[in-house]
Amino acid sequence: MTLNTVIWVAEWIFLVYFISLNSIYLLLNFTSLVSIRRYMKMARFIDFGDSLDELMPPITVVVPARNEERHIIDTVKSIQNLDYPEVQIVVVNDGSTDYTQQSLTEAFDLVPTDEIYRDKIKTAPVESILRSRDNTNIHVINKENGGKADALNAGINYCKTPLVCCIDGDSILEEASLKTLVRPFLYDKRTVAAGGTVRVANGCEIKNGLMEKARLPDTILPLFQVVEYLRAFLFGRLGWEPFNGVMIISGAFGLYRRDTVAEVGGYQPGNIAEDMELVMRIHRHLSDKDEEYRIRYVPDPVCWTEVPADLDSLRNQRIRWQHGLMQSVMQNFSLFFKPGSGFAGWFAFPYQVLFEGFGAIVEALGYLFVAVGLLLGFISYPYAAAFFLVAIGFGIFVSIISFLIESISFNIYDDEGDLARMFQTAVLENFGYRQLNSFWRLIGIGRYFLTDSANWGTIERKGFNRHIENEETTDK
Amino acid sequence: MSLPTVFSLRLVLLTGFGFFFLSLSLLLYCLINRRKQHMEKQLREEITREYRSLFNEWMAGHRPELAQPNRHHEWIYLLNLWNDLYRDADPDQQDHLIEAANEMDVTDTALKFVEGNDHEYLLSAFQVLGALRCEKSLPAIEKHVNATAPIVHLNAVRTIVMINQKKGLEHIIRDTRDNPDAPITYYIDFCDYIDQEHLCDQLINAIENSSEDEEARLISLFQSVEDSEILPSIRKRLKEADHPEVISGYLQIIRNIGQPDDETLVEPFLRHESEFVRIQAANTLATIGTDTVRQSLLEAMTDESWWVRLRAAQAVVKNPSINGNQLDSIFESLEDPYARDAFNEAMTQ
Repeated sequence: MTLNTVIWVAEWIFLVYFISLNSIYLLLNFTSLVSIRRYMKMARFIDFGDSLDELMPPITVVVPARNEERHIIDTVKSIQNLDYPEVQIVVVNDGSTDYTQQSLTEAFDLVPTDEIYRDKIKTAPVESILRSRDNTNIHVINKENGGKADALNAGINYCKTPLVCCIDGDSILEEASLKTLVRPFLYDKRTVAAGGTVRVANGCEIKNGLMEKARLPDTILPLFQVVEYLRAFLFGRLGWEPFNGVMIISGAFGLYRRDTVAEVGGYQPGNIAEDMELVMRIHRHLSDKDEEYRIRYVPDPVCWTEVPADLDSLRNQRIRWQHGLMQSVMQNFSLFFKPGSGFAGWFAFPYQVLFEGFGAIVEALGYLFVAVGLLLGFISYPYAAAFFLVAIGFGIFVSIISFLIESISFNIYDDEGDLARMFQTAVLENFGYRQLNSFWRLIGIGRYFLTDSANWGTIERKGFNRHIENEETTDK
Repeated sequence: MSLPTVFSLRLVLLTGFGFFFLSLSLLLYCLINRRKQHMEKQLREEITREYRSLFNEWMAGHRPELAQPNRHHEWIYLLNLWNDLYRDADPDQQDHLIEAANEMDVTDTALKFVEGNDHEYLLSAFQVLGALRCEKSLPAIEKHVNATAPIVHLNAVRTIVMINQKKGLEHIIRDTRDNPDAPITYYIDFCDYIDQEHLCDQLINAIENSSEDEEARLISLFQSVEDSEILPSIRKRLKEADHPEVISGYLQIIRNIGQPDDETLVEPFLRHESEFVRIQAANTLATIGTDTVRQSLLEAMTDESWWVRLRAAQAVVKNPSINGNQLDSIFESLEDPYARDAFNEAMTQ
């Protein structure tokens, strides 16, 4: 095989990848625009005040907490402030070594309770269950450390309501977030899970754990992430939603049918992206059972999260995400083109594997190919520049579509000049930030193969590890 | 064929600039749309403010002139506002609001919404028609009773109950009896709107013509009953019952509205083969029991089930006729270690 043939093959591989990925993006853009118009038509007039309260099912909010003495009280209070008729709050103290338990006991006057705890999903041993005397809807489960997924599982075991909401200890919620997120369950009984949009909280005004006023952050890194989050949620997830192809419900805020989560065995301890893995497993399990189900995405901004503001934290986060994504797709690989799995198994999951999972390798090789090509002269500078222009132009176009969706729907960033700043960011991110992300994703893939190679081909769950070695999962 | 042959430089450049141009056009559209939305929001606030002040005057007993909204979708703002005000109003104010709604012919518009399938219009219209007790809307609302969207189905049933208790209860009973997945917890709440005597008569009647499984589901609806006049029928059914869920259901009703003399009826169920029944029996005795069933409860504290032992111990501990010293001597007299453990747990609580 001559060098020319190698170059020719490589050129076509990169081009096919580029065109396929961007065609999928275009399709997702189209479907998300249609979805948002339909959603807004439905949601536009939702302003029933409390008139539907008695029709809303009770919800248990599970908050995993490990060494959260500084934030946990605020988090619990912010959940208490949510506008929802019946909420049970279950804080799972996952073997904290600080004063988390003492803070909770003092703040909410906790006493031991004899309520039923069924160990349906195996977890690290539960040491005690406490209940608030002042606020009887607040419960605290003290257990041995087993990691975030294990803590969430203990909360699910304790949950007695038909719906369970899992949140992060540092999630900042909208006051009406639960009422918004419960809607898919009220409108379609096939709904087994629903996730909402997570937005960047950096720069926003927050009071008592609730969002007061959304603002764009002042610094560039969080600003890049604002644009990224808008893209990821408003066209990424919204685009897949009409076809039941949602593969991720953010761990920051997701609502599930308790029986479904228990049936699939709960969250998987040891998985870095336990939220994504759970959703993929639900798809796999319910398609195995040939059951009609829906996993929904609610585009309303319901939850806000603080994103990394420095390069090191961002780097760690992105590597971890990619590592978790790889774990999740490989552990649920049987969903790949699985007969009877519908759109989820034939399109959404393969997209996750090929483009979100291994795509970073192709992208990194592409950059390398162009650099080598320019150096050796088999790619001309004008031609490379023109292709770069197309890539940037398309990247900006995709970002603008999410701005458009945002603008015709929720219009959260409505200060003067916000749109211009976001546009500016969408242009700027093409020069360095995107490339850096591809590089981090590549490291994430490498880390998966170096540390998790034993998991290759693992399809069924192997059980529950009580002691998770990965520090990032164990200590939130 | 190499790439430059397939895609000329000019074509690639044109595509790149094309995306830029498209992006800028969309950005412009976003700006225009933002302005449009702002105006729509203002209009909504204006309508709500205007009608709020008019409805407030009506609630205070004045009768200012009320005009119908100009545009179709403005009605939804109006209906939502009306529903909000109605829910928080006192009975006099509610009467005035109904007069205001009649003055505006709200019923006709709400009926049109009920004929359609737009969920948000439907739900708003249900609320108004329910509050107005609009009998003529029943046939239109009944069409939505079998809606696949749970919220539409539940709202339709609730509205029917509010307009016509008899028909509403018929729907509830039929669905509870025929559908194992019926949303019974909601139906129990809806039963609160129904006259107790009527509720009891229809339920007893339905139960008498049901299978055991159907009976077990129907019994749940008794949870909202506070009228002890149904007790004779319940006692009779309990004596004849065989199905553990049915027995548990009746025991639960007796716990809610039973009397101390029911303890002799309940006491044998402490020895029933179903653990669930034994737990319910102990629970019921904890509420209605007197000292006469103490011995049976002490025996139940040696039950093989931890829950039965605990509930039986709680029933003894909760009994107001037993004082602290007596509790201590009961504890001392217990020989079975499991019974001591359960009693200790109940005492600690």
